[in-house]
Amino acid sequence: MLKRKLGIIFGTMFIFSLVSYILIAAFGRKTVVYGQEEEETVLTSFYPVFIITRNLTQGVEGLKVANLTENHTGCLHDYQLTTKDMLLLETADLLVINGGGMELFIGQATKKLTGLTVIDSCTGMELLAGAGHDHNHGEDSVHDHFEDEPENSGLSHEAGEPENPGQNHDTAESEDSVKNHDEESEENGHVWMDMERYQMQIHTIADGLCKAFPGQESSIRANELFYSEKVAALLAEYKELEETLSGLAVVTFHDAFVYLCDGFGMEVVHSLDMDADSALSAGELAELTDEIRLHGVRYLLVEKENGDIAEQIAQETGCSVLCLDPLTSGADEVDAYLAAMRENLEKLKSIPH
Amino acid sequence: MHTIYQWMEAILPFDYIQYDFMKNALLAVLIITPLFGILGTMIVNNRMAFFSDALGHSALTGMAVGILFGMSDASLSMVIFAVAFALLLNKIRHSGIAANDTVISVFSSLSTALGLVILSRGGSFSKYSALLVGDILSITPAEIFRLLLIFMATLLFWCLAFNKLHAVSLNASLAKSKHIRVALIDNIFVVLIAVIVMLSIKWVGILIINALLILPAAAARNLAANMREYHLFSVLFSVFSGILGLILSYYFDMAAGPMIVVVASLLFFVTLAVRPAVKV
Repeated sequence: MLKRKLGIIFGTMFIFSLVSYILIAAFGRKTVVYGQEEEETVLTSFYPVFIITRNLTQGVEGLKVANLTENHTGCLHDYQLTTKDMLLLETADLLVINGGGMELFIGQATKKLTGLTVIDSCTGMELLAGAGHDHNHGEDSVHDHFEDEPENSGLSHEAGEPENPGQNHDTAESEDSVKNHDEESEENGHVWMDMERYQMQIHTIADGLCKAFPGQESSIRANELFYSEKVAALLAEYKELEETLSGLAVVTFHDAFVYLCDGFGMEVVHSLDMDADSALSAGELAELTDEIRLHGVRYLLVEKENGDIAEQIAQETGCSVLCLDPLTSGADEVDAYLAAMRENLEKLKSIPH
Repeated sequence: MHTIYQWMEAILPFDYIQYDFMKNALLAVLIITPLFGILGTMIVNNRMAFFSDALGHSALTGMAVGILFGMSDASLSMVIFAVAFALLLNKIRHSGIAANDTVISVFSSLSTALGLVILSRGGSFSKYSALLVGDILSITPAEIFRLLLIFMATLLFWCLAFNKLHAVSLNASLAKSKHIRVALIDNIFVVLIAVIVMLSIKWVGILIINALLILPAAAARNLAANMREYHLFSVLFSVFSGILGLILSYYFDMAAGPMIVVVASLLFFVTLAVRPAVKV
């Protein structure tokens, strides 16, 4: 009797295995032998650094850029590594991350990958505090932002000059207010939305790439110059708006927009990180409405996906909703960042004097 | 560890085995699944499926408590909380105050809600959502070793106390008359479940950990005629679904834990279908 049962069990298992084998052969991942190609793989963690790295390595021989998360993944708060990602990590020569606590998911994996060089694009950069992880959403957050605002915006204007972003690393590092990147979570890592900080990212990544691939330094530097100039041109257009927008009170619905506002010297009365997937509580909503009224906020900066709740608040308070692109995802094109930032610029221009 | 890796590479001629993370995951599966297969038999026998489910959910609160007290290693607070939770639940379960499933449901909901309330403070729950689905690919050798220890402890307990446990499971009063310390045996058993669930929840995930405990045993029960067969089949099903699930998840880029559960569920349905033919 037992033999018969075991026969049935092993028979079933055999059939299961066979079916799986056929499925794998038909639809599964094709065996790719990494590491035997001529090209070196530069892996990026997600969209903004992917676009930077693509720009920097354009036309550089022997370098291949791969993005760890799909371009449409967006923010990585709850991203989990798939087997494919682990494969990429194991075979990559260099990993470019955004830093600033954005890549919590990589933490565990990189601990095991000791041979992998990591470029943290936020190295030496001053980061703003994160809203989504702010545990004191209470009354004092208003004052926090008041105090933070002039200081931060002032710093980013002086320190982030596009001509000498490299110099800034040392000065920023010595500042007491600089937060340690390893502390994670409390900080806001969406630095690419401030174009001056974005240029620092470009520079930091270029430095890292040159160090890793000294043979390609000249072409990487040429790319850096080319791309920085394009960014600087757009930045100049942004600067024109600064006068209009400086001091404008807004509420942001995505941590990324806090950096955008920082660049303009806008006053962020309250920032929510709706990208983290928890809903607003009734108390937070009420508090937010009160703050909007108190500070005369006229604009809510939102990302498309969380426009609903913003519309509600806008109706309640009479503000306008401005839908911007936080650039956590997008097309796989070298100029995607510039295009999206231009679009954001056009929308910001609609704000009357 | 290195030697084990080399052995695995020598024995298994598959391309996925060349990656350390797959070796670690496979080792973890080879430890977790037999463990779950063995424990599952008694959980299913004692009709404790819902109990272990509630225990899994208490991981959220365990983690939250750990974070409140600023513990660096959340798995410690999870284990402590789960053990306390299991003992309390066991006490209430036996006191007969209310219907069993009602009590468990209340505790399960409470521990889930409490965990969510604390962890979602300031909208930061997303940091912990990995706990829901689990991620076996991120397991490290040290953690595998920890699992191995608890595996051996379970085997030891099973060898020493299985007959008593079984007697308690069949009829508590009868067991008591045979001078078996019913409460003690039962409590050790639930503590064991608590520790194992907490140590493996990070890899398997709250949402499906119970499926892994229950399904292989339930499938085995469909075919088995005695305790020996029951255990053997349960472990076989469990290990098989673990390995096949992991391999499938590798080739199709899907989460490993849920894939293992899908395989185990399919096995269950097969056994359900052949049950009339086998069980006379």
